[in-house]
Amino acid sequence: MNRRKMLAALGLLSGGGAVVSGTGAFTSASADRDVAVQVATDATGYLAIDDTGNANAEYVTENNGSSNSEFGLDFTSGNSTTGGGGGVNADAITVFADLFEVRNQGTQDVDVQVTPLSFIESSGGNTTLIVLVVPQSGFPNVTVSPGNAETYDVLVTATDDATTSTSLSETITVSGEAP
Amino acid sequence: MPLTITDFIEQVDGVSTEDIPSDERERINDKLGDLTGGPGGGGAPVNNDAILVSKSLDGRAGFTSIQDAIDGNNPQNGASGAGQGDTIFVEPASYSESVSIDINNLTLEGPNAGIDGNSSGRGDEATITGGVFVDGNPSDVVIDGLAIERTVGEAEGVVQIGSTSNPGANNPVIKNNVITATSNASRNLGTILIEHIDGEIRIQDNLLTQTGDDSVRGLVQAVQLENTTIVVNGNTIKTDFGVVPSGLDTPSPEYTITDNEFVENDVGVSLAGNYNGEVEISGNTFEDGRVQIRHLTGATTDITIESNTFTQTANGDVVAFVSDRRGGDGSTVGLDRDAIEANNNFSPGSTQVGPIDFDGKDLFDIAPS
Repeated sequence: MNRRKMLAALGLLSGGGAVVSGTGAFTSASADRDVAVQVATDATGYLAIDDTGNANAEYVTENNGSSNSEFGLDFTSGNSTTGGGGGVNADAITVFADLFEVRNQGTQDVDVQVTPLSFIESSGGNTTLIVLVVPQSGFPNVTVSPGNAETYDVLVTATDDATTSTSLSETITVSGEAP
Repeated sequence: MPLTITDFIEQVDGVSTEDIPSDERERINDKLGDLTGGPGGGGAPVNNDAILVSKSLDGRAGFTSIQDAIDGNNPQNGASGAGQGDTIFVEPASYSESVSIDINNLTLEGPNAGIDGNSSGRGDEATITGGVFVDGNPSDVVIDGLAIERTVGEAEGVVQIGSTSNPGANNPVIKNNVITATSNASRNLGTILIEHIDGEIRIQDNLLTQTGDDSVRGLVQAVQLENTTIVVNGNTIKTDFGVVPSGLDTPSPEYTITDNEFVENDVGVSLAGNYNGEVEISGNTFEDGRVQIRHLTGATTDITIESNTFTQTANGDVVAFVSDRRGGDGSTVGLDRDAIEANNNFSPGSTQVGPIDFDGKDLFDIAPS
């Protein structure tokens, strides 16, 4: 089992941190052989977590202080786009389509689960920020065969009660287990 | 099946759909519909834990009839019938059957679960043509995201909670449905008929509408409703009569009528003379109804009317935004029209008229100016 920490951040104009951790579970083997184990980046591990190569890859971060290129999502001014944007709009709904994928680079089917799939931030009793992680083919879990991937969209709603100090910093867990 | 905000909220402890403002829910659901299978959408995630009902199972475990799924009859491909706490998911199609629910904590979920009955974000419907009956006293039944139709006669409803011969239900929830009554009688019929409940019934985010020439009520309330609460929230109500609180039994049920849209009703909310309960009418919009709130002689004065918007458009034929009918001698206590005018919005404006002689009684109206 390989557990990783990843950093994502969601916010309006100011930054916050959202920590994402991934768990890839695969069948282990034991034999009298030479053993070589290497820790891979999140993009190349047996349970690969990476952007999908489209323009939204700018919102996907890969380091965040780690030496292992851990995956993260950052929608804040701390990760400004090349166009100069840094945060979602208030009183608006923003969709990041095909934002990231979880790919099975192992040898058997795995049930892939991302938890939680939603975050809700409130202030003064009013909902200010809602973040949904939306799997494209199965809900809430999906079985992914070797070589294939589940792709996720992310939907962010900032209500009209949100301000530039609204932010959220949370952790999600990506896990894969043989069914 | 498009995902909805409800699907996500159900994954989170301590949060309910009601924590999300209704306009935000609608906005999110429209977008989720685009992403996951609504109009113009892409894939169709399925609740894998639900009992499937489909007209085209294609080898999947499930049922071709909703009632069979409830009763466990005619299972296909290894399916099992519903038990307490189960969800039945109904795929889009027309189902020519009447559905009777008597299982505790059963959720009957259509393809538009979580999507307001009046939302443009709704996808293909699962339509039940013979009505839905909740009786036998089950608890916590939820009906979510379906289109339900029925031709109804007197004392009948398209969705009917109990009957004169059957007990009803405890704490049922009816939400995100399109409920259409075709009238086959002249009175006391409606899209939702409540005869026997205990606790609270929640009627939320539905579209209540009608076909046929005879008068239809959005919500018909009948007997055996002591010590209950009826919550009518976020619905769009286009029936001749909208909500008609009455007090056939005493004490009358408590009503909370909030954030609904009443559209072109003959009467939007009618408080019957025998209704003596507590009622809140707030945050609603009334558009082009001939009489938008009617308070009959002797009806409760334990009533809050505030933050509503009463409208007459250029095509409207509004007689009264609020009509207060009192006894002929003028001694019966009526509504505080000054407070109502101060605490609600009127378009184009309002004026107090009356008393007007009305068949031996006096009318005191707030009318369009």
